[in-house]
Amino acid sequence: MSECETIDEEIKENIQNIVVFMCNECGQGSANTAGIARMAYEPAVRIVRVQCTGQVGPIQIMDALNNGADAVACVGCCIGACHFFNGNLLSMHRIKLMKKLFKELGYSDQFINQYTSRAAEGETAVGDFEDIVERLAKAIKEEGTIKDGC
Amino acid sequence: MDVKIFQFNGCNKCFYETLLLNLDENMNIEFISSPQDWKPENLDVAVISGYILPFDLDSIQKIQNNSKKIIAYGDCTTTGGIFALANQKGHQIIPLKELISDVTNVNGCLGEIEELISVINGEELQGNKSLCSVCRRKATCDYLDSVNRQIEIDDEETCFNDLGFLCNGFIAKKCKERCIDFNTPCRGCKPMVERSGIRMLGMFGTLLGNVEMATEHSEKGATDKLADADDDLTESVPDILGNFFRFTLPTSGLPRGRVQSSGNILQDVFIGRLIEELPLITGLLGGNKSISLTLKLIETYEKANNIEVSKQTKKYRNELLSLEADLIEATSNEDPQKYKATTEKIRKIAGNMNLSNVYFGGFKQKIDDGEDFESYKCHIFEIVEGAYKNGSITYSIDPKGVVKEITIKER
Amino acid sequence: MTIKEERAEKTENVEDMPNNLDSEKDPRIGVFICHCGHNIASTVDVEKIADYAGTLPNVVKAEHYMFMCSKPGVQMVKDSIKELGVNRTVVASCSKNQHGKTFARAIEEMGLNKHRHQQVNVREYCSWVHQKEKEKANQKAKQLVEAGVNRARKLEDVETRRIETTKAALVIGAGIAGLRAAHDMAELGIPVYLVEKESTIGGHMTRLNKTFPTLECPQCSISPLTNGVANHPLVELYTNAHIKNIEGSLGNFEVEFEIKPRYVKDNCTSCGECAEHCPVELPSEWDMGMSMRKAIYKAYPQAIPATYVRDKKNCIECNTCVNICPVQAVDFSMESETKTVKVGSIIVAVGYDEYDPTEIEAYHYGQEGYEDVITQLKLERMLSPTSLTNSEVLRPSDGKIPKSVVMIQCVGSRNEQVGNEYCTGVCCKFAVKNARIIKEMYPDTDVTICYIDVRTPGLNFEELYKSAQEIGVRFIRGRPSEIVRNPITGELIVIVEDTLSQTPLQLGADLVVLSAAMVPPDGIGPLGSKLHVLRSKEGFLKEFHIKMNPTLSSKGGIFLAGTIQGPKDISESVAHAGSAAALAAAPLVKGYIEKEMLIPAIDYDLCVKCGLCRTVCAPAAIDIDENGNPSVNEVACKSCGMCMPVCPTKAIQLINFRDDQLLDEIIALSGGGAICE
Repeated sequence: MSECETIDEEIKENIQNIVVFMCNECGQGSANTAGIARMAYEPAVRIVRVQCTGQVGPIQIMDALNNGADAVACVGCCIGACHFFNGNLLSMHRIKLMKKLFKELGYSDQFINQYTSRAAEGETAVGDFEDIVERLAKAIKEEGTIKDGC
Repeated sequence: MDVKIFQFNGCNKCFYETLLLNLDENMNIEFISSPQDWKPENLDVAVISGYILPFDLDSIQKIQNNSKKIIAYGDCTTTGGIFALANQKGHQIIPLKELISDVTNVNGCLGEIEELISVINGEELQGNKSLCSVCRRKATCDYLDSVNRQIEIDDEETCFNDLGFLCNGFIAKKCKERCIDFNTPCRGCKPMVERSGIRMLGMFGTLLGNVEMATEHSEKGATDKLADADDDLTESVPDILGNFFRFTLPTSGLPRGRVQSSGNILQDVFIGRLIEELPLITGLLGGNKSISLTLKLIETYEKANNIEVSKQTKKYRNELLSLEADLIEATSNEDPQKYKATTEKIRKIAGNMNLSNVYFGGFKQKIDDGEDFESYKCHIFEIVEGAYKNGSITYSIDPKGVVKEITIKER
Repeated sequence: MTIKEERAEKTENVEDMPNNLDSEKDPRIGVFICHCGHNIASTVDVEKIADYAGTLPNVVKAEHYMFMCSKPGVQMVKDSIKELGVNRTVVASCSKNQHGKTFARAIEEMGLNKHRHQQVNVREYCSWVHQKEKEKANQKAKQLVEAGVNRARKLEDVETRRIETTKAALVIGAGIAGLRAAHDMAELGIPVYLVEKESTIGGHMTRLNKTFPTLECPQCSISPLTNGVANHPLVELYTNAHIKNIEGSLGNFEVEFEIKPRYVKDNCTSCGECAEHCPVELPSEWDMGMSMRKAIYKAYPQAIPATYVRDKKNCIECNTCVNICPVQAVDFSMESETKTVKVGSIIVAVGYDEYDPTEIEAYHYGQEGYEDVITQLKLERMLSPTSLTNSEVLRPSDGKIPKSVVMIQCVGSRNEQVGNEYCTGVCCKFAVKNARIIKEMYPDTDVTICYIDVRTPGLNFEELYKSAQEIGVRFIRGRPSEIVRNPITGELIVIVEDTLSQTPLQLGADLVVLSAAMVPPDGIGPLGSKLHVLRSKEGFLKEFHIKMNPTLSSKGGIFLAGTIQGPKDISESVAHAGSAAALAAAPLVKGYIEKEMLIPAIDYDLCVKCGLCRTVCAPAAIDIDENGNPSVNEVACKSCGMCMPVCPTKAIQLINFRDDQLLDEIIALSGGGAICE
């Protein structure tokens, strides 16, 4: 049991950069609320503010991974509540295809994920970040990092 | 002008196409089919075709040190080409521009000989007119309801993508082979943008914006997040790599694959591909033997699944086989006149040198205007799991039509 | 060379920058790190970060200060512009929402375009959330500032344009919501075009017998409004009219509508002679078949406009009305008219339709032998003062007073099988109202309501529900599975399980009244697409934000009033319409709208004319001309950037959010170093 913990901790220590695209409405809103409430989360999380997660395409995701990010995530408004109607849905579709692509290449599909959050609830943002880290740690442990592809 | 053509690894189709350079009196052509044995000497222009593996680096260095101008000809050299799909299984096929920065690229699978000639003569390749501008179909790009892996060929006006049938034409240059004219969607062998595969993936993913997507409650935050479960969407696009990155995998920006390799590059290219794409793939990388390979592959499937083939179809297929024999003769004799005449005849029946017109059950486009196309038209065929064997080619596919195993006892 | 190095090289070379609005070849960036008292400084070493920022390319000033938002702090920023020629600023402090505007305004005062400021959040995004991990927090802060600098390097000017609005409004639909909205806007001095597809105004409200909870007569309640609107000097009323085409965007629309001919001129005195002598009689649609009308008719006595109208389809052209009209108002030669108007705002108030229960086969609505299965709207017509039944509740089959009335709730609502999951929210209220009315009229008649839940929230409604119970209306909790008909006696039997006592029941019913749902009105599909507004999955028009803005549609300048946005009762519709009117009037009264031109730029050399940008644009701000070239409607664009990732050739890029600008930010945040060739 303690061995598991140290391996996990070691993995988490080595996580340096997680790029999270957060939309202008709920995404960064929830991150701000989390900040105001001083909720702590993994420092590797780096937030990029975009107008809508629908603005984030596979190019941005690959740019992040190609430049050293350990994982990438998009955090947008809840389904049905996208400020611009369906940006979060479109982003989901594209990410779903990218996940499949990574699986085809023999990697874990947990390096890219799509989440939603609520602007007034900081815990949704923090919960999403924790989920990203957990999945990343699990993926690294079981299947190795994406940086192995070098 | 002193031009030497170097063939590295691959199917040799581009290499053979350079035979046509011999028809130009101003060029002094020499063909070098094993660059590692080549004794270096100065030359004006080096044309490199075929794909490059790490053990070829010394040969490349040799060429670079001795040439005034280097041209990469064909997708294998420019972007990795179709063989680079083997990189999915850990191979390391590299495009030439990663080794030599000052290279003129003539892409395409088959590379266009007209473009090569202009580049050798010092001209710059013309602009970026897109394939859609010469396609007879018109796109509206409304959201799709589903993805279709095959379509009936009767609709000749709607864009493939509008029918849910992926076509990479949006990122493709106006080309010579024109697969689209033979009811074969473009697979992007001549992209006009960087990272074309990723861009096309973004576009096609968006077209599916209306298809329902599974989400789940994230326990911590209790809001929706993308579900991990497979759903209809992922099922409907079975081979993203093969369809979006067929020619450009090494330059796509994706990490190198680490799927278990079969040990053989050619087999690794095929494994994971889809049955309905196989004829085009063998047509692309079969080299001189493309026709017989493709037909063997098709006929064994037809026989096993009782797909009726008409007399007219058989007649045309036999014609193609005899043309293949002529082609082999032309290339082994290095006879450009015969090569030209034979390839023109092949193009008449098979559509282009990628054999886009050849398919399960028949042909996709009318060959001769006066004929009754019904008698050799192809139809949507059912994907049936199983193992198929025909002499030198054996392959097996899973229930989704994905190739699991293949052996080609040729070359 | 790695990808990162290649990109970094390109970044330094300003000439390679693909953005078009910027002609400056010398970006001079000023970076200011805020201590925010202890808030940032206790976790992040602001001095070190400032020193680091100073080493980045194009940074000519890097400072740290206690409170950047204070007057001296802001002055620091201004001074750097004046003294060092700084033309782009980065302030690393709190969130953009909090003080982004403060600094943007400050640099604007110094003559720079306010979009040249980049706000970096090192407080909410860094110091406040990583208090226990100082080392990592510092590393992160460094990267956040670098990302901000990278972004600032390529920021472009964004123009704020003042667009004049047309001082006029269009209201589509003259039901209670449309009337209220038209009236409120007219009172603000705005000329209103009120377009109604029926021949009379007032909508569903005029067809009701009594309104809950006060049981007032709706005709009386609405009459001041209908008269007020019809006679208002600023309202132009067009009945029998429908919208043909709408072009334009917020502040400047051009609307084309077609007015079908009434065949009766405006000098009609409403005397009724024509109708009295017309030989053709047919059931009145307005009256749900509860009365007859002629081929030349007025829908109901108090109808506005009071002009009669001819039903051309059923008219036999005997010319009796033409000859008998004392003022020669009947004119068969009248033709359709098309009118085009210019307006600044549009309010959509086209109401709802009552769900048609025909598809619920178990209830046999509309089938032969089941004439006694009716809907609540038909019941309202039966009960109303001018009905054929003289306000009596009679069975349609034999005209007798029913001895038992069974009402079934949730017909077409809360029903996944027919595709409507929602609860209409109004049916329990009107069922209770009508049940009480029937029981009061016929104390010997059994009145039963079969419900799933009784939903009567709000002031006075619980009281209404209680009073119905007290008067003897029976409530059975169960959704009837079927209505069967005894083939010999003709009696209807409602089969339902009383789920509270778990007893299966067979209720004999002389009259069955179905409380049908409110569904989107017929024709909303084509109208919605003409307006380019989005619909919710239930088919109603989708509001901009369900909480903060329920009366704005997805497209700027088009507002929603009443049940078209979702089922609601009359009070809610009126309030909703008032809100829509206020929002619609604002830009018109002001005379202009100010919009930041944060719009996409299109490179036509790369465009392959696929049209996907138009498909994804939610506010329909991208038009495709006949050559296939896309163009951006600057006023309608919402700056969401969704058009960017869909373009296969990178031909469309949102200003200040271009691929390469985002890439610069991503490079700094990802830690650098390529993962693969």
